[in-house]
Amino acid sequence: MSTAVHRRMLKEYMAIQKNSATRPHLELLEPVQEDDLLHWQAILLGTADSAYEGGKFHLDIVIPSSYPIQPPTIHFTTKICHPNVHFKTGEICLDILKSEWTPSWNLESVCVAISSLLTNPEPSSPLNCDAANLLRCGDMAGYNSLVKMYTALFAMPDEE
Amino acid sequence: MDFDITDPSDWPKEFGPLREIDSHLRCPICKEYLRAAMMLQCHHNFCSECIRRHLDKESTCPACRVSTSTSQLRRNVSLEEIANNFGDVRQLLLKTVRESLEPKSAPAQTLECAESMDIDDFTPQQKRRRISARVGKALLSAQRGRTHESDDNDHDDDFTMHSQESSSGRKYSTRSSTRPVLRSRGGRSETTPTEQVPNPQSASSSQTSSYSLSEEHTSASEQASPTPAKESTFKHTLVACPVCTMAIPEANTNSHLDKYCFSGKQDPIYNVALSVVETYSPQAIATYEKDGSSKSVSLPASPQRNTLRSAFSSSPVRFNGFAQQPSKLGAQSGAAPIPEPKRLPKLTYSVLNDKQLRKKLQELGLPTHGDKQLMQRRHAEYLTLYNANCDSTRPQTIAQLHKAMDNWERTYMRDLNAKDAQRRAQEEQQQKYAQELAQQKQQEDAASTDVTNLPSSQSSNSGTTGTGFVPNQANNNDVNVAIASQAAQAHKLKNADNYNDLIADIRRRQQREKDAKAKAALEANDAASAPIQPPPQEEL
Repeated sequence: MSTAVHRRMLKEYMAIQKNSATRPHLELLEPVQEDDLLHWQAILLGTADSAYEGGKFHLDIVIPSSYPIQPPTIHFTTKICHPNVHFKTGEICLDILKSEWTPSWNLESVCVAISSLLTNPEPSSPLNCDAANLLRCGDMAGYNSLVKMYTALFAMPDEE
Repeated sequence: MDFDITDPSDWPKEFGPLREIDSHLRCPICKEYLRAAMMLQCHHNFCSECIRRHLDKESTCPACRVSTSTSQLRRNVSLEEIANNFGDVRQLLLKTVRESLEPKSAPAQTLECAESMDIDDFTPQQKRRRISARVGKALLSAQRGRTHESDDNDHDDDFTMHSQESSSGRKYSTRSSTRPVLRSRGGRSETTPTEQVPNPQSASSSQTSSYSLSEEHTSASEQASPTPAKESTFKHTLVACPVCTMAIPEANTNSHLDKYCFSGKQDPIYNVALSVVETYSPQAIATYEKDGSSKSVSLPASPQRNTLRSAFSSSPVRFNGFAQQPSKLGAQSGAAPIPEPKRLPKLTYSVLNDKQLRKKLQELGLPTHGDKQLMQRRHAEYLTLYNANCDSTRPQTIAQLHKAMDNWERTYMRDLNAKDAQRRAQEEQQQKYAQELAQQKQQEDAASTDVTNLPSSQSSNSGTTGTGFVPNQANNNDVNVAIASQAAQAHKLKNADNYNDLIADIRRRQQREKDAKAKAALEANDAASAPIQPPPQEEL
């Protein structure tokens, strides 16, 4: 069992548990089941002062057996309105999860990158054209209210 | 999981630089200590195996994305050595560091830590430290046995001082708490300035012995002769001959050289290497100095050195002259230049056919079953392992590499099977879905025909949709379903060969494993049947 992936994932798990205090935007990052280190879940918190504020966004992370040479597969399981996230499948368009991946990254840094993607959308390579079009037209009020609505609809289950 | 997972965050916050050192000695890819460190053009370091694996897929540096290639990899031997040694000493260092941070009130715990250490590989100073811990523990328990008021006891104070000292960096200096043991063992040989044990014997011996032998030797000499007075007068002046490295008395050097070495003969009297003589007991050395090897053999050497000595004397090194010297000397000191192993060249798999690839694998002693993709992967994996092994200062044997390959093969097949199962499940689901869809459509069709058959009972609206659209749509859906099921069928047919290959492969593998198990069981039976009695006793 002690393949390179498992060793590395164990290390990451330990490091994550130790540094849990230093991650403000990451509520949770752990394997779905303790005995399967190749399937993780995470919960991102919407940054304060953004349209995503108050939302909890769940991520599903699948680690390939050739990790860290190949990137993990990550998608949102919570519906989220974002120009670079597919509204239906939750697929994320982020260069570091595809072509720009390097083995020096780890799950924690990837989650931080996704968290910063939420506040810094890239409308030039959209997966959600409607949101991207609003941004490209400069309709920040429309965009923000749309995002706020979807955040309230899908990412705040407790308040409903 | 039985393996030991380490991380830079193991170091306490107070020792930030240690954390930094730890993280810099790790490979950014596998997060382990660098194994066979390789440096890229951009001065980033990685394990040889990791970076080779990465460069197989992409030709950029994982840390800074500068484009690079395997040919630009350079060994970073000193970094590798640092990483190796840091890894070796890590556990001990971590314990020491943690001990130093623990509050004074928990001496028993620190004792346990020190006690549980595996000391076989450590230096005498560290051994001494462990001894001190043991003594301290014994003293503590003795105190507990008496009364608990003996806080002003010398030994107890010294011991807590000792743990304080380790925080200030003087980790291994010993204090009076260690004296009871050290005096009888290695006390005399302590010549380091930090250990100023007020011991008259140590002073005298360090002053009188003109030729200082190793510490172990002196302590061993004590065991051989319990009377220290005799020893302190002992003085010997053996030196290694610059030509044949044999131990000769300093005064005899010139005559020895003229008589034997320069004429290519062997000295019949002084013909034992100095490194070997140093392992003798003092008397033996004295006798050797006087009479040469002829008599010293009969004298007792220190017991723990016997094996070493016999190992040396069983293969006497003889020199006949200058011609053979350099190589022999090199071999003796273990510094012979080992020829750099040749790295295996990369293959262009696309221009090789199955047969050629199989031949290449056979040449490397690798299994040759499976399709081309599997063989290609296998070859690439072995190339990575082999070339990484060439870079290591602690290389593995070819057999170990093959074992690693077996392991890889097993995980690869498991992954493949898992993927296959997943794909099959998906297909099944698709088929199910297609069937459900078809059924639904059929029902709808039936409903719509009912509607068309009975136009009088329905409103005109539903009647128009029923006659206009539904049959057409139903036809379309039927076509879609048919196409989907055809495609699924075709996919199955296309991959049937692969499945069959795979299943045959797995069967073969299982059979082989079974055979091996049966063989092992037979052997175990044979072994067990010979000595029938001992095993149950051991178990008890």
